[in-house]
Amino acid sequence: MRVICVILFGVAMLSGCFRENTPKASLFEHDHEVAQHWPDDLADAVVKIRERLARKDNGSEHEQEPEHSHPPHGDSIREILEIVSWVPEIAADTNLSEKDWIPLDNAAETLSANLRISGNQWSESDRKQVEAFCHLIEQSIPKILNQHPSQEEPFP
Amino acid sequence: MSSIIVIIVGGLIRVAQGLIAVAPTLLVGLIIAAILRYYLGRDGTRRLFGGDSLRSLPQSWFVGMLLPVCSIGVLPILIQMRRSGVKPGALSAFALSAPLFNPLSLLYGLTLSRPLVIVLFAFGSLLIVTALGLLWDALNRRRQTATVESVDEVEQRSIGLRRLAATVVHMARDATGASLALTFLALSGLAVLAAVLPFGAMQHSVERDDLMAPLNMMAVAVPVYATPMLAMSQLGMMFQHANSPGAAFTLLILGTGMNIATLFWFAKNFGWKSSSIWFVGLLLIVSGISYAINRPLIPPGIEPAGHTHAFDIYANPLSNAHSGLWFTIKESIRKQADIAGLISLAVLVCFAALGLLIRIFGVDENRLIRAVPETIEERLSRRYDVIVPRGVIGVTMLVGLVALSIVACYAYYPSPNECLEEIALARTECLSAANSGDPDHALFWLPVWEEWSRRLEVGTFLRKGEVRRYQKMQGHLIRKKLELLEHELEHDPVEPEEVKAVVRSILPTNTRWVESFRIP
Repeated sequence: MRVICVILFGVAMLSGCFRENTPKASLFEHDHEVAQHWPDDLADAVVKIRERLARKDNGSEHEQEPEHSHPPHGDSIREILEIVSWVPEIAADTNLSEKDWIPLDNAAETLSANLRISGNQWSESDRKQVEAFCHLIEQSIPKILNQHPSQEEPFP
Repeated sequence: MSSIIVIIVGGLIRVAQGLIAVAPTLLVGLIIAAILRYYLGRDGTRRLFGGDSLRSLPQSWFVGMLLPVCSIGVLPILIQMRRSGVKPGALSAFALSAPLFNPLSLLYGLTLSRPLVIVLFAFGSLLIVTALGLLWDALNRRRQTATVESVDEVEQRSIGLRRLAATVVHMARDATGASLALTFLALSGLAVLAAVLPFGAMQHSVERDDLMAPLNMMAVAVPVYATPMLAMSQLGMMFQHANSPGAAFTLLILGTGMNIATLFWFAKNFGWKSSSIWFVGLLLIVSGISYAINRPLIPPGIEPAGHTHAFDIYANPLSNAHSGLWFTIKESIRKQADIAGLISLAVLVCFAALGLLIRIFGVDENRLIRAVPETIEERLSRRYDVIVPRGVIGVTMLVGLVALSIVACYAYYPSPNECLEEIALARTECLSAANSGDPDHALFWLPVWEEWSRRLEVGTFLRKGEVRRYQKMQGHLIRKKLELLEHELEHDPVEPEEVKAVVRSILPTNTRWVESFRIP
């Protein structure tokens, strides 16, 4: 029991319980971390996915060279996967109707699952699926009705 | 505010909050213990928990899942089960599983992340209680500790109103006896945590990419006392913030399933050595499962928030930056003081007062034994006034309790339209306070709104059998934005323009969310 008390006291000291009057401006200094590649809206999601697709393709070409100096394209693939999985949330935060949101959500879920299985070894089929997904997003954008400008603020 | 005051007052606040939280389930635990004693009796209790058969472990787990108790409310039941000679393995299975899930929390859990996650958690808990139960029984066979108490006369011979009175006396004595002492021992864990963990200390300890997250949670979860509903809401926040699923599982099993008093009770009754082996076994199994599920159960498509407020409740509620000590104490307790907790606490206090009087005047259940045994003539004269076997009454009472908790599910999670009315009220209060620069009022209504958003989903699930993905996504969005609003309101000083920007972004989301649930 004495040992437990000593340990708890030690942890208390280490965790800074006994610091005297540390000034603190806010009780919540840590806001939500937002990923840099979080899209502003659906159109931005398409742009960001295509940018990364292009970067990935360039990276793959350079990887054919024996001593390429480019960074691995794993980051692009990971970011594409993340953006794809965020699309349903971004779409749900617009005036897109539930009927029009469901195909996007289904497509994002299927594509995410496929890309996870493929890992860093994408086939031509994976690439085509990503392209088709971008196309589906583009088709959905005109369906967003009468979004008031004040509602269009990106809010990750 | 001085650090020592922060530690002492913070600890006392946590104990007071814990006392209000534990009151409903402790009361249920006292009732169940009394039913086991005077209605099911020794043999009935042993049968309920599977007796000496192999099915005793899963059966105890299943019974535990049905009864609405927490890790403190389970203690009076454990004491009674031990009196009845239930095997230690079954005791451990019941002790760990009963607080984990009850109908209310299970429904809540099913709407959190993917339902599969909660089903897997339940299955994981079955694995744990079975493995530990087998270990416990093996240890006990070596020790051969036969502990069955002889059947007392009150249990056998009291009937009707006398038995009902014996039940009340039993509950009153329990409310002032070992159960009360164990309750305060369990709640002292919260005070220790408040002393050890400064304000907000757990906000970054359980990130999904942090390999130490399940172990961090393990260190905190043992002294934690958490009701099943609290643990489920924390699980919800963890999934919302994409925290470590392994840490969530650890919290559920160790934080909700046990507390310091559980450990102490086992050690006192079965020896420190056996209990230590049991405890180490529990930690090893829980950590093994936690690390096994940590990666596979990460919810897809959720962006990690980088922190969580789910565990602020275990850290000290005060910081050196807090001013207005009495106001903070009052607010902290007021937030916890829901109507069910307050009523149950009042009933418990009445039982405790009665228990004290009973102890002072030396009254016990033996005085309630019928003085003269019933003669055959008396029995024949009853005709249709049949004496129902007490086991039948006992089982009926327990089934009634389970049925009551299922009915309670429908009351606690009302129909979507009713939830939407409550949400409209909370939303108006919260947003108008936020816009007019009254952060305290807004911060009071914000958790109410968030809580009703969960109830809306469970209420829909109960009545429709599903919550559509679109509805879930809108719920996710509204809670995400509410949390951003909470952050803005907590800033010191509050930046009105930032607050108003968040409020503006909440309004359209709220419209879409409400419309998706509205029943025409």
